[in-house]
Amino acid sequence: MLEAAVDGLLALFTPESILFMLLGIAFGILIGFLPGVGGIVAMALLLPFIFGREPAAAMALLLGAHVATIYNDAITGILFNVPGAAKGIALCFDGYPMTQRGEGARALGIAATSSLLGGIVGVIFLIAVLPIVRAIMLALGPPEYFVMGLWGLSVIAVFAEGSVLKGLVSGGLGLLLAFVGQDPVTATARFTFGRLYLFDGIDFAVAAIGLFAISQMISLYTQGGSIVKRNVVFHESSVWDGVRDVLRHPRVLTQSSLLGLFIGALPGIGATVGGIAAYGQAAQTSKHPEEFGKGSVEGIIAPSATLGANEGGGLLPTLGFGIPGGESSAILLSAFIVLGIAPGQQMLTEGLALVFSMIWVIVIANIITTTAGLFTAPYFARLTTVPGNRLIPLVMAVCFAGVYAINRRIEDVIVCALFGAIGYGLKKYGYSVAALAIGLVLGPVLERYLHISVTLHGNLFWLTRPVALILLLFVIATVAWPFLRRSERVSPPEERERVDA
Amino acid sequence: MNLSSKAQDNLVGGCILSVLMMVIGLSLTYGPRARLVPLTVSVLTLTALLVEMFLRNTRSKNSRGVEGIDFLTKRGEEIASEIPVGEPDDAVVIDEPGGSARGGIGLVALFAALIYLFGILPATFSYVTGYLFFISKVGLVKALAYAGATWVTLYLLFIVLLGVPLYYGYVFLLMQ
Repeated sequence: MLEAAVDGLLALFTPESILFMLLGIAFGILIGFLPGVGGIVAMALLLPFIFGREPAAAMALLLGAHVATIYNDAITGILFNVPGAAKGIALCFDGYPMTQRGEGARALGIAATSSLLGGIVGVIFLIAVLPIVRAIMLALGPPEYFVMGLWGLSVIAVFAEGSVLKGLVSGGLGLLLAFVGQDPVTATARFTFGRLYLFDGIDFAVAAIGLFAISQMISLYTQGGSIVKRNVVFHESSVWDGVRDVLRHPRVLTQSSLLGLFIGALPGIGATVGGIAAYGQAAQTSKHPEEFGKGSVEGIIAPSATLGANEGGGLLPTLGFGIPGGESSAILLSAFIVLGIAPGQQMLTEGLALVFSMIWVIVIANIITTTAGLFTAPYFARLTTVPGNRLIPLVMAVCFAGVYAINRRIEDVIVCALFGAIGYGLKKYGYSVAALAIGLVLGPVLERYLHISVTLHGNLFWLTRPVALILLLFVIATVAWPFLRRSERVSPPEERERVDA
Repeated sequence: MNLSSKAQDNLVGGCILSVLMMVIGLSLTYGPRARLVPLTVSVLTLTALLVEMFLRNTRSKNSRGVEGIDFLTKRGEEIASEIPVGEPDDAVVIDEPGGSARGGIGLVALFAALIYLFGILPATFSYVTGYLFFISKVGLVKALAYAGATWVTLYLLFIVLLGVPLYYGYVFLLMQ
């Protein structure tokens, strides 16, 4: 394995590979700024350029671009509440409040460092599990994926600040919105009102940009001023504070990275669920869960590290089985076909050098992107002091153009604007927009895997599948843990005082 | 019309309630497998909403008098209060007065309508110019320059780089 690792690294030290990786990273950085247009689009656009290239150089181009978009998604999400791609949505939850506090540079430092270290931790574990990847993959199926979806849903409790019931209502509305379109089992058109546009359902990226970015622009308009109310960006926090923050939270970093690797390896779950699940996991195990949603350091570390590690995880089913772990892996699989590479067990034995080349690309691209990100973060953070009245039309223009570019449907622009108004109204009346977005992401995952699980294993699938049962107990434990800990913290005298009061 | 915050909450709750009732009604028209999950979720959500509304209305908290459905009628300031702002003593205030929520939503709707009618690039140019000139009170030349720069940026990023032909607009389609 060591020999393959060295060969994989050496394959990247050719002029063609280095040039392709740098081009890919530069392209990814540029694309990452566009809302709704994520790494998948970057990879898809670069796909035609890999014909006739060396496999290592081709992977350097594709994965370099994809990895570069991960951090750039964070920039727009953290500074403007505009998720660059659906998977970056969890970064808005605490990144944007931190920016509003005047700590945008620090938040960017946290995101960049977590993404880098998450990627490295993920890669280390990826190498460790390569020999047993098939056994792990075969132990997991639709029931386990369903339980993972439930775990993601438990995050809603984090956003139920003030009213758990309003949080649940928001989550429920999000789930119901996710059911618009064709039913995954019978293909029945649900809640479409005969509109062809709604047959495919509501695109999550379109809804997310409306719920977060457009609603935020309405809020900014009503508030007046700029995103950051005080000119403190350059005095009170720096990007290096963010780096130190990450190093002070090794537990969150490691657990989120491993979670990212694990979720990346589950086909059809996707990085969006991963980011949300990591956020929930961090909130449920944090010593300060009350800070989540208000600019918590851990709330930024968790999704960033997960997204960084997720890329490595996505390689597992792609390389081991030829099954894409997510959309980006599907494009990678297309690249394999173009290059004449056959994924599967053979690739993990005879083609191990190329596997390691891909792993090295993830690491090197992460390092380059993070370094560039750390040095440019203070300059990006200054943008948040631009008066809102200058920023609003520009952000809205980019958002609407980005939304249109996703599916090239004008209806998406209208739906995005509608979600902007809905998001603003919900926020105003104390209904969590984040909970609604989580429901919207997880709805299709939950419904699809619930139906498959019931069909394959019966109604009691969660009891008959030991792995699913263990995961379910784990989910229950992580959900119950904050409540148990909170009740432990209330000492008897305090309790008595409360009763007296 | 002045409505208490509790009444406003009830009004919003009522809207959500009617949506949920409609969802339940529609779900019942689908087959058993197609309605299984949506029906369950909508019933649970409805229950949560009813409990929330019941608890809210039976609490003894006094409602404060504010303007009715204030996101439609009131000049916005409440969202600002949600934002944790630091101590004001060392603040360098860069605030401008805010607009009404109705105006904010109207501006989004106007932009979407312009895009629908005239296409993304012409709508962006006219909207950015108009916004900066009329709302931000930027000089016309500067507003035109900003709008031009935005237009060029979108053109380069989406049409040249991504190869996405941006929407031309309903008016253009009518003219063809």
